Amino acid sequence: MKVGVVTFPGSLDDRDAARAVRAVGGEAISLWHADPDLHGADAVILPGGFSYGDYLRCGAISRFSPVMTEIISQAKAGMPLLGICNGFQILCESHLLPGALTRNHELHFLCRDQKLVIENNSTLWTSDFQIGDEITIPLKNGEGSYQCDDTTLAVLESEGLIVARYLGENPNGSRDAIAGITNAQGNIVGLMPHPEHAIDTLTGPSADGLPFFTSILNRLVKA
Amino acid sequence: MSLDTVLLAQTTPEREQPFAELGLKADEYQRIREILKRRPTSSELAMYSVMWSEHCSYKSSKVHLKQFGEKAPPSDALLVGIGENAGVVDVGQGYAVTFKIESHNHPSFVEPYQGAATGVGGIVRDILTMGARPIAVMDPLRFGPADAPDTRRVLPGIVAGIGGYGNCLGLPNIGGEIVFDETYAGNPLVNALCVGVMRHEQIKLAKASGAGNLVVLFGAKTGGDGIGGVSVLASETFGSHTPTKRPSVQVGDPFTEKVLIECSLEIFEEDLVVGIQDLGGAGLSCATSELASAGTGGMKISLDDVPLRDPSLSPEEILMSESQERMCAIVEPSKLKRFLEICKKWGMSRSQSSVK
Repeated sequence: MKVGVVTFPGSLDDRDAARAVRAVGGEAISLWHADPDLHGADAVILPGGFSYGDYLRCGAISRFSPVMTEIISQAKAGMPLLGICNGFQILCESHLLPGALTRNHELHFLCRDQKLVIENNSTLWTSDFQIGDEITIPLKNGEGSYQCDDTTLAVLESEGLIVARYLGENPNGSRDAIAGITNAQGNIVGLMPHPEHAIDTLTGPSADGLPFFTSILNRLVKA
Repeated sequence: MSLDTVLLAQTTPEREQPFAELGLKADEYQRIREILKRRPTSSELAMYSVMWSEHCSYKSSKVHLKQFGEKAPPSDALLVGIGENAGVVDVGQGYAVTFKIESHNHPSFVEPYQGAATGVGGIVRDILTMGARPIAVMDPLRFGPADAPDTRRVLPGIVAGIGGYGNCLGLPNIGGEIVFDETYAGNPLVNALCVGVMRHEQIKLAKASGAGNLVVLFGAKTGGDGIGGVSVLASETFGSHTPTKRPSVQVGDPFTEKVLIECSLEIFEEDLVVGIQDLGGAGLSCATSELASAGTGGMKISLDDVPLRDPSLSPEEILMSESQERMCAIVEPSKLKRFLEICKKWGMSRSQSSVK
């Protein structure tokens, strides 16, 4: 099972995302922003970082890179796609997920181990969780405040499209403490915190991030 | 444009040159004339002035700094010692760490955000130059009294500059110090440390060896930033047709630095360089001189081939420009094609000259 990890100029967490895929027994393949070929990837991860320097707006330039054209069309057809941090911002800029990530409400870059609660385990990326699972994984960003209009928020809430929420004090002013959302089909997930940095206690605060990767692997093996 | 060529210098020995404005003493200027047996050209004068400055040659502190080399107890763990961009220490299992700390005080005092940011950028390139992947930064800081107006002026920018640049490279800031004391009023100390990790066989040195090899400048394009004092030469040479003066403090672009890191590591991985040096203070002057002097001969460099952000830059300014996020590599001719392909892949501009 091949999981493609995209490297944009300025990507930071592509190596950790690939490492997480390998840690659960998957094959990680490196995808290059300028190459539209997905090289047979069964699923794709858009990693964190500062793609294109976050210039103009986070994710605004990456969304137009050659690899994204193919990813957008395949994701619309059901390919599993996970966007983490900058990847989540790219998913919103690509209109694959609704809303936008804006400056944290206190206007500071945050870097901390963040407690989350999982609220949806029917996506392709969260099926190995139980609803109500509390996990702790790193959160590190300057633009992580999830915002959307009231109508969108009502849809997200009523259709159960919120994947995870921040527990405790809302770290960045996200609406309804949203940390991650999915599309109606459950194949596309955007997440602000970083599960790929929490796959073992040697290098992360926990191994709580692993189920995101085992979920997709188990799903792909069964498919 | 009239260039101040060697020929012109030979035929106009009487031309007055602004050596004092460039920080050279009269006896130092005389010494240059003795070495060259004529007056220096503007470009040569610019290079001498900056290479003989305290900043580049440590002329007053050399006597103290030398002791680090002389008094260090012999150790098998020290794989690379004094004289290179950074020391390298064996940590076992075939791995080595390299780390270095450097001050960026004055630029941070003049322009806190960019001064501190480029301090981080410079130290990260030093670590990269050793062949290592940079993995973390640290910053010990000293300020005047916490309630002094000048501390309030510089502190927020310095802290934001360190954080902003490091974050964009994905480098955690794993520690530091902050001290407020009267001693530092009007003279804050901004130190930046970077640590990198590599395998023993990946160690790279700043040395230009092998006649016929190529000198490649790659990374960001060269612009008019950080030129500082050398602009007095340009204005002499070109009258009113000189580029707009930029602040003497450099401006950093951490995005380009991140791309430069990945580009360089890919180049190292394929073993495509003989020697490598980053461009820091005194830009091309310093990097090319250091590479050549550590190697076996000299080098011929063609300033016409340097990719410019500002095409109106004079030769003196190209030599002195402290534009950030640039590296200079020595490449064997057979490996040049692949080297340039990797630069192109990462969108880095590049130019080439040759080692003599």
